[in-house]
Amino acid sequence: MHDFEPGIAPSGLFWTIPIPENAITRHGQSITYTLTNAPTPDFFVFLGQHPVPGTVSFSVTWTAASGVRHLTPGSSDPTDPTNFAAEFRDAAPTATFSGSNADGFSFTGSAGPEGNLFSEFGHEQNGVFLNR
Amino acid sequence: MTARRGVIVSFLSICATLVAFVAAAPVQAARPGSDTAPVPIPGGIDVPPLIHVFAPGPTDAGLMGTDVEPSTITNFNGLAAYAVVAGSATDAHGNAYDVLLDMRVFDGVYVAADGSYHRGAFGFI
Repeated sequence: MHDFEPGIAPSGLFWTIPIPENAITRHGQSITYTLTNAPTPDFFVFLGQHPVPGTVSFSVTWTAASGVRHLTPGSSDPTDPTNFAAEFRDAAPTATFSGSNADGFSFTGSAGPEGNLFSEFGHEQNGVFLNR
Repeated sequence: MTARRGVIVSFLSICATLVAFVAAAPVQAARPGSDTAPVPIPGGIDVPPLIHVFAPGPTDAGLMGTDVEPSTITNFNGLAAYAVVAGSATDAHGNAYDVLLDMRVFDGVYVAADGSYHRGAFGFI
């Protein structure tokens, strides 16, 4: 078992890190995000406590596959999963990726639209921006 | 990214960024020593512990619904991309794996922990 992820910040921010703007490219109705050798520890299990150093590289592309879906807040409770607004398009994703850890484990792989469970992209607002 | 030999379950949560159309909010310079990091969404999944993330997607696929928040950052106004997609991988010894990727990216204006406004791009790995 391997679990490459950046960990949870002391604030509780979950597996989310700053990324360089130049890692992102747009091409018409699609976007591509590419990152190479991003320091990403291997925690071995979900929410593991004993990570070893690791890196991952990946390139992911989202291509629009539908018209725009307009989402309005389904609840005023800020903890509710529908407490946001968005205009999203469904997407067909593709990805290539690789990674390794300091113990010598390494892998490469890919994924495509045939394996898509759910993908979307667009513009959203939450929190203090909902009422503006 | 989570991988299990034989049956890999991989959460390679990659996030791509879109050009933000969020010019409405002013962006402020941070004060020295202030916390300009984004703030997590207040809700989330109680594993436990509570993790500040949701899993959008069809409920018949074990996800939480297609009208569910993909962002992990609150007080956020910008572009987001999210994908859950199955794929395959091979390790250095030729072992094959099934992989499930969770990929996200956010790019826009956010209100930081110290209350200041910023523009930034963030990936979910």
